[in-house]
Amino acid sequence: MKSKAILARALTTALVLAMALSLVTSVQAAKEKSITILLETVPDSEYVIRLIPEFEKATGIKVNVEKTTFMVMRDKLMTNVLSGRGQYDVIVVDAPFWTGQFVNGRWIIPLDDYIKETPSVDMGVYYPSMLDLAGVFDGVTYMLPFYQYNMVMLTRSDIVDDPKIRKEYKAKFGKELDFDNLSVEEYVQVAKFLTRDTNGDGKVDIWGSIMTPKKSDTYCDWANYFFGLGGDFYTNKKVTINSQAGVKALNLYMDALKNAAPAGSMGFSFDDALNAMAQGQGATMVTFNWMLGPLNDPAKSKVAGKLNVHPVPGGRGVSAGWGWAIPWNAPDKDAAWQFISWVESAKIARQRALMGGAPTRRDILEDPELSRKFAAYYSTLKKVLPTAVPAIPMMLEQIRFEDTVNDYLGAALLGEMSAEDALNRAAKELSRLR
Amino acid sequence: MMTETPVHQRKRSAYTALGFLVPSLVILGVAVLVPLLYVIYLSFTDYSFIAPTQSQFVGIRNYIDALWQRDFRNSLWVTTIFTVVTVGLETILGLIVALALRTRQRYSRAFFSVYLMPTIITPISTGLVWAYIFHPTLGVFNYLLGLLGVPTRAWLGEGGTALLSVCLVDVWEWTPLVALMLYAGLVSLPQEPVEAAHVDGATRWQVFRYVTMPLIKPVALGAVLIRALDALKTFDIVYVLTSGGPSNRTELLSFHIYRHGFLYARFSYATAVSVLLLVGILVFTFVLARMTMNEEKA
Repeated sequence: MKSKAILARALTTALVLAMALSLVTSVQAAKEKSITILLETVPDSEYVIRLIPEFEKATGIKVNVEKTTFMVMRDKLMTNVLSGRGQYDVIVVDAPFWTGQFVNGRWIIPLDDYIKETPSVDMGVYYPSMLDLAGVFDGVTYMLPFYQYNMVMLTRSDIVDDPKIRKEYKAKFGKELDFDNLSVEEYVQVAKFLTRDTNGDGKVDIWGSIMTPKKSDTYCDWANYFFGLGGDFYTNKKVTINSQAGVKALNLYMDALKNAAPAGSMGFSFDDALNAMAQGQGATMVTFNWMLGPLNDPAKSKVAGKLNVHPVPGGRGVSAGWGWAIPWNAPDKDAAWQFISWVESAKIARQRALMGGAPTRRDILEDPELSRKFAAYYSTLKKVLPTAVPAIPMMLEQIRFEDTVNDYLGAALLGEMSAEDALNRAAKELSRLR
Repeated sequence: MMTETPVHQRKRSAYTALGFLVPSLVILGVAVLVPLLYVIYLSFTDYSFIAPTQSQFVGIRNYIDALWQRDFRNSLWVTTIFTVVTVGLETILGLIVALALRTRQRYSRAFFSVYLMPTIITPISTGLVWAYIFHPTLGVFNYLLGLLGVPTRAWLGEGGTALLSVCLVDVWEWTPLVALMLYAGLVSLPQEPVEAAHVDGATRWQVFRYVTMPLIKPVALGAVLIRALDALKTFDIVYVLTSGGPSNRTELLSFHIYRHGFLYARFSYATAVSVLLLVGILVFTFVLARMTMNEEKA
């Protein structure tokens, strides 16, 4: 009898202890609420990471950041969204390249309900072109624009502002050198004009245009020529890559590659182009605006402080960027939204911009302090953002679209077929894509 | 006490053997057969990551798509060229190295411990290193050729050189392994036929051609089989060096499968191409294994 009583007491004590322990654990868990974010290793991610302690302090939510390179990012995201239990609460999506799959596959959730419930989030501050790119699809908001990497034209001020060069150009072509208002044809002409031997050793040492014709990077490089000449991939739902503008753009692109780009350019990716420009080999480069940061870093670049920023030739450039999204299988969607609404709040967006982040909001571009600090860059962005065209039309098979165009552009660049033939064949294949 | 009849004994040992085999067979079935059958099943559907719950049976449509697709035929061709060139060069160079070392066995251990390093390095790292070596402006390859007056080229970006450059990297990486296999074969050959040939007045070339070569052939065929199976599945160095470009001049079948399966989310099509690749590998293995066995019998 006595032993039974002792056993009962021991069991009761154990039960009470277990309950107390579980209570302590759950309180601890609530205190240590956390979210996981997957980010690419780029400067804009770094600016966010630097500010994360502010979010953690304000909300008590711990933020775990997983950083990865672009090369493996999509594979990681895909495996995550295809698994039943997701690992990430917040992800960033490369727009427009991945949006077709992420939206159509319902891999990310609509954010409209969250937006309605969060008065501090004002969608009106974003440029409509940014929302078309990395925000709203068929009237549903899936992402909040994070940063953009629209394309611009960079020129070397020590070359293109040299009075001798300007005088020579005027004498040769009968007009002033005006990079803010160049047509695509004029750009190729200028690039060839600037390709020269500056030290008199009989070898060209400055190239008029640094280009990126390596597979997978050809698409955006060439698309600037195409858009700049008024081309569009679709007109009334019909593929029009093989229009007059398309063929002309490809012929001009090949002309620039042959006569104004460094030897070996066929192997240039964006990283190689960045290196070549940083080494002082180029006079101009049409590229993503984020390259301005590393090119202006004196530790990495010989041309730091010598770069002008202009809209792309023809005035209509490629638009691309990243958007914040919540995967369908995010462990804590509410906390994820809390983070997104914080990181895209006016205050944090401004702080990121002050560090050098690429803005997507009108209020940031119109901020007096920021406009002073980044005068040339912001004035160009104000021209570029409203007219920029998403690199790829919104469709399910966007990546296949890009690869198909790349393959045929490559075939023309290798001389396997004419520009017209390559684009006609591309058009035939593109018309089958969904 | 009852004594077991031979029939009973045989039955008992058969049950014992079965008892030991069953766990392995179950593991093998679950780990190999089930995924394989699932892949074959998927190749007859229109399964996609975009709408995984809506997949339907489509018969042999994916296989027809593959055979009609320009990309697939191109990848098949590129894979064939890549396999023939790399395995051929690796075998020839490996044999030269092995023959050179046979007469200097004292140094072979030290030599192989250094020479095998490329084989130990992960292919992704190998790819990254060679991407820099081949870099159009910063690469040492163009620099050295420049000293000889050869103009700068984009080795990985030009149609005429891209596949050749990828082959070169593979040959650099895997020749040591082939050399080691052939060396092991050479040092274990009986010496009597060679000595007899010398006594009969055969020249060194004749000894090599009519004695060493026939004796080493089964080992060489084994090395070719192992390397060819690997070459047919090569993915990593292409992924790092060229992403299949320029255009799709270096797109091997495994990269084609990755492109369609993972990038385009056309998973069922990718599984169909995987099945075709598997069938190709099985046929190739069967033919080469038969050749090896015939050699051994002869």
